Amino acid sequence: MRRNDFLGHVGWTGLGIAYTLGATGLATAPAEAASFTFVQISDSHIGFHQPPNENPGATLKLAVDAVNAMPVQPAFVIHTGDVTHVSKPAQFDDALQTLRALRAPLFTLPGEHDTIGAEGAKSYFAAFGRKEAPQGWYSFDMAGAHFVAIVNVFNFEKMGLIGNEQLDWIRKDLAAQKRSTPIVVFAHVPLYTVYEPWGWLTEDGGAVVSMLRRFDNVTVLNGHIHQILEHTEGKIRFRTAAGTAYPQPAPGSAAAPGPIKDLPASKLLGTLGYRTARVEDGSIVKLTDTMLG
Amino acid sequence: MMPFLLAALLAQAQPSSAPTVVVHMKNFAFVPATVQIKPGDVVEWVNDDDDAHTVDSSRHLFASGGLDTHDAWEHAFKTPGTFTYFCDLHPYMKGTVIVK
Repeated sequence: MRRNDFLGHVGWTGLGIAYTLGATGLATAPAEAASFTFVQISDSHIGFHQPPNENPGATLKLAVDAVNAMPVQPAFVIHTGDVTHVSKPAQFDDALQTLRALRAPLFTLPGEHDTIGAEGAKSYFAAFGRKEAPQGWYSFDMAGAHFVAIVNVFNFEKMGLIGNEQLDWIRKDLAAQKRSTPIVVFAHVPLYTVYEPWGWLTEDGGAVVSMLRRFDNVTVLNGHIHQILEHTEGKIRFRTAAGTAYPQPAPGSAAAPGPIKDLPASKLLGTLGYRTARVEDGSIVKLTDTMLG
Repeated sequence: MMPFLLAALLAQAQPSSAPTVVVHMKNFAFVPATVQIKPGDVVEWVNDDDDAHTVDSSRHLFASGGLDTHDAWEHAFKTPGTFTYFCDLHPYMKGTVIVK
């Protein structure tokens, strides 16, 4: 418990740093917005031990080292879920050991692999819970952009599902934003239907997409499917992320969505990566996916 | 008297050591998807896939927790009824245990 309290404190301090940057001129009104970057890491599946990746801890560390080597550090790093493979406390511990080395403040979202049963969810919150986000979801502002982190893995018989309580919160949160404010949404499972037979969709994601339509500049960044896919609906740009553990097949291209096993070690790193988003004048101008090899 | 007691004890001990039915999690499906057993019988689930799965009762009566590749989990069904379940990582994986 003491260890978790300590780590929770580190996470909270990290957020403090992000806001301190804001207070010194990086954040606040769009008129005085500066440029900055943030990084998305996803689907690390710590504890997975099958081909094509016997050691996902090592590949997560490669991503962390690469981000730490960026000459200008990102304003924050967000992990968009499936930090662990089966929600075990030891897997959360291992993930924290590696993610704690990040120089930039860390935000997280749970994936369904991080919240298996009541125990899994408890372990996730013990490792990554934030004081301002008792239910897992949160929003914040930075340099004129508004960031919303959605949890769509808590109701398991339907997945993804956001649920009415969180939808009400999102509605109120977005209602307070101006049409011209750039909106960045993070979630684990894609909000649109990528491939229904594999459950690669959020049942009530359409409700959020409807709320986002009035904005001029919206970017939705997801994980879950271990591959980079782009999608556009009106002015809303969606992009899913590569994982740091293993790739999954393109939608419908295999009998089942399990890991792509038959991958030579030399090819694995080329399927794993992290994403850098460059924000200028409060608007995302560039998404860059960097592969680990 | 003694042999009877011993037999009764053995009968009670049997469920935890010998599953009546084995259900495999294979290619993201429960195989067989429906099994029929008697009250007191035990179902064992075995994960043959490269991804993790779970066995979760639709009515929250039982839950396996995360089952990694090659992990197994068993549950004794004491009362008659129809028990539907799913994998909470892949909810389109569904199964039914009929106890009668």
